[in-house]
Amino acid sequence: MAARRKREVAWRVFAFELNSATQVQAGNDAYEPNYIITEAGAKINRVFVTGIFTEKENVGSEDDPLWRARLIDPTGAFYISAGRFQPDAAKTFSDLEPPQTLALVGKIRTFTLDDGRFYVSIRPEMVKPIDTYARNFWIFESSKMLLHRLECLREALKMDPLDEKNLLALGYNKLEITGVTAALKAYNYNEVDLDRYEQQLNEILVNLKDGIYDIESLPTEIFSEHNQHKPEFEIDQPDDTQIAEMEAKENLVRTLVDELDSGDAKGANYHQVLKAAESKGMSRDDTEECVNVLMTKGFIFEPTLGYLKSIEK
Amino acid sequence: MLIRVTEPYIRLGGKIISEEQIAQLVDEIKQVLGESVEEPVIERELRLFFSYGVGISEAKRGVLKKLGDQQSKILSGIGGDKNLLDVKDGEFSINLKVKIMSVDTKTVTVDGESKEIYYGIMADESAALPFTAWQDFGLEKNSVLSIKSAYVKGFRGELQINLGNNTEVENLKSGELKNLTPERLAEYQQQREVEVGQLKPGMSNITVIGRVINVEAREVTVKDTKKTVFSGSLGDSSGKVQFSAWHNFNLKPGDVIQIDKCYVKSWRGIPQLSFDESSNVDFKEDTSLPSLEQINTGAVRQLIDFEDLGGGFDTSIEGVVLELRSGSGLIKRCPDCRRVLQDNQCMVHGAKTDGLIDIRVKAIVDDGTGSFMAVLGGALTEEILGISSDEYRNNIDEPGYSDEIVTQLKDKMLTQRYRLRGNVTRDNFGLMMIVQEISPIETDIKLETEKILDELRGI
Repeated sequence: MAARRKREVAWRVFAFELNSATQVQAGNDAYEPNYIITEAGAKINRVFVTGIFTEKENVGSEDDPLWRARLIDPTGAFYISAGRFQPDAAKTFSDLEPPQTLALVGKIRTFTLDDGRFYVSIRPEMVKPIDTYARNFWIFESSKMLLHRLECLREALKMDPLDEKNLLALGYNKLEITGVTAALKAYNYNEVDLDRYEQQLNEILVNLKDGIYDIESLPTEIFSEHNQHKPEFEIDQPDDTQIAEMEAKENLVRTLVDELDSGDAKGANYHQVLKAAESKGMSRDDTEECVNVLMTKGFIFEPTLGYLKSIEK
Repeated sequence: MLIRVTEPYIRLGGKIISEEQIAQLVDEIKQVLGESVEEPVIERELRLFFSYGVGISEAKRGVLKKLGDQQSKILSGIGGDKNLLDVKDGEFSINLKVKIMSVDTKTVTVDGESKEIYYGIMADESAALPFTAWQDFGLEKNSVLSIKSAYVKGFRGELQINLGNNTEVENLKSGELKNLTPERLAEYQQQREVEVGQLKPGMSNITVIGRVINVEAREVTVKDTKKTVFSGSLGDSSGKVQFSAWHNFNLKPGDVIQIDKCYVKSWRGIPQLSFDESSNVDFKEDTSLPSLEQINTGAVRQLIDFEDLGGGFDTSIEGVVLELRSGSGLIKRCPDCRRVLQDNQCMVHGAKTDGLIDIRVKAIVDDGTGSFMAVLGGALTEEILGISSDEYRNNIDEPGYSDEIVTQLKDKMLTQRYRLRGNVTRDNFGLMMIVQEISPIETDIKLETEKILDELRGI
């Protein structure tokens, strides 16, 4: 059996870097996830972020909530969306009242609107209130990692052709090099303004050193600008049709698991389920999410690695 | 070449398996195994299983198991284009571009037949290694060759390139590798010095400089012979490694030694250094190596490093707990084998009403470059929760108590940054550590921020 893919690392990344990204690298096979590539050289599937939770809205129903929330970091807002596929996080958001300092781990989802605008949102896997120290450490660590990515990118831009061994020798790690390599393919650096990343980073670090982000001394106006800034996009609000769609997708996956189950102890091959769902127009991410939800809800389980089985069958 | 056998196969019970069924099964197996296994191979194996008269589902299982296991070996062993510095023990299908520095011939007996083999030294710009050619490829001193499908074998800790039945050899123009001359061979054979933190299983003929942390003599029996092995650990600023010395070099804790001609074995992905009387061990006086205490405390490693290395002995990692896996909290173990009971059932010993109560944590820790599963045993878990074993043993049957323990663990551990210490190993699910020490980290953020600011201003 093919070994299960290794868990994706959780990138520490600021909102402005994430929200400025426009390029996606789609997985080559059912086991390879999608990544978003940022201009500063991060290749992201999962993030670990912190920020001030400033607003929430249930755009689902009372029985089937879909929470949209905003998390403000020193550079902008993370758009959070937690619904039936993120039961733990959805529960947390229904209990929490803004404002609060939160840490959040989640997977990246991207949307392209009809007019071509591109949005990034986070589907949380874990949400937890944290203290000022933890948040400040996150700002520090995210700054340090961004700085190293920028340095690595600057070095790589000097090279023609790109020499990964040389970057390793300069002390950059393989994750940074992989990200920078992907970014060099995805963006035209004659048109990318990297200076603004360094300016922003400088501002963050000076503020952090001066204690500006300590909540005790937090001047309200620092975040008020972001608070007034309403989310511009409406794409992520499911209406009744979308909820019905999600249910239909879930049901389809359940049916496929049953259909592809030949009746032996193992059950349906996960790969085949993904393929079959794809042939019915479902994206890999959707199917994976449906499988996770169905497992969480207790409709299906994984008797052996790579196989799914219906619990009722 | 595939041997095509056309007569239908008879399955147990006398039923005939059609070509269509075989084709369908090949597809099914291919789906599971993915691109790396080729269809003719699957088909050959299936036919082999059927020729033994087993049923469809048994044959399918057998082939899956066999090729699935092989696939993991293939993926770890397959070579491609290599230079001699990078080859590892057990690799096959490697392609090389080398110059023959010396070649000689001798007669050996293989399967009762005497056979002429060719041996010598080959070199490229990265290193020189001994080789053995198991047939006459017309090798000549100073010839420059493109070699396809050679394989690597370790022999007494030294790697050898082997040219066998599947190997193809092509003569290249002598203009290539012209700076390599047999007269300068000694330079190419120069020992490669490797930092302790960069030791990889399969490395051989290397030089390591490190400070001995501890050492003890043990009696072991190897092939019915009693031997004394001096095992312990040593380290430098980059990391620590366990070693086995098969000779008494009179090592003492604190000694700084340079070991020439040592090699690296692996235990569950953790590199282990080996050396014996054929290795040179020099004691060094003057050194810039960290003190015994500094080495023992250990530098913090990044998880991305272990993608290549496989594992690490007594490693320190700093990271954030992002998830608690199911199986964290109170558990009951089988009194016979200590396996974790599921609903008071042991998977080996059946129903157990007298399960041993234990507590543990399985946490996903992420350091921003990778993640691993940290397993904390009872003592560490009790310390984190601040409760005694009496307390949870007495309360385990209270309704909701187990859930309460998990909630408390999540409250305390999720998003918390820890420094963890233990051996890093690898299994099918990735990296893991049985944690020996764990402590929350307090960083002087403002001080560290100033350092980063200076670095930024240096750009």
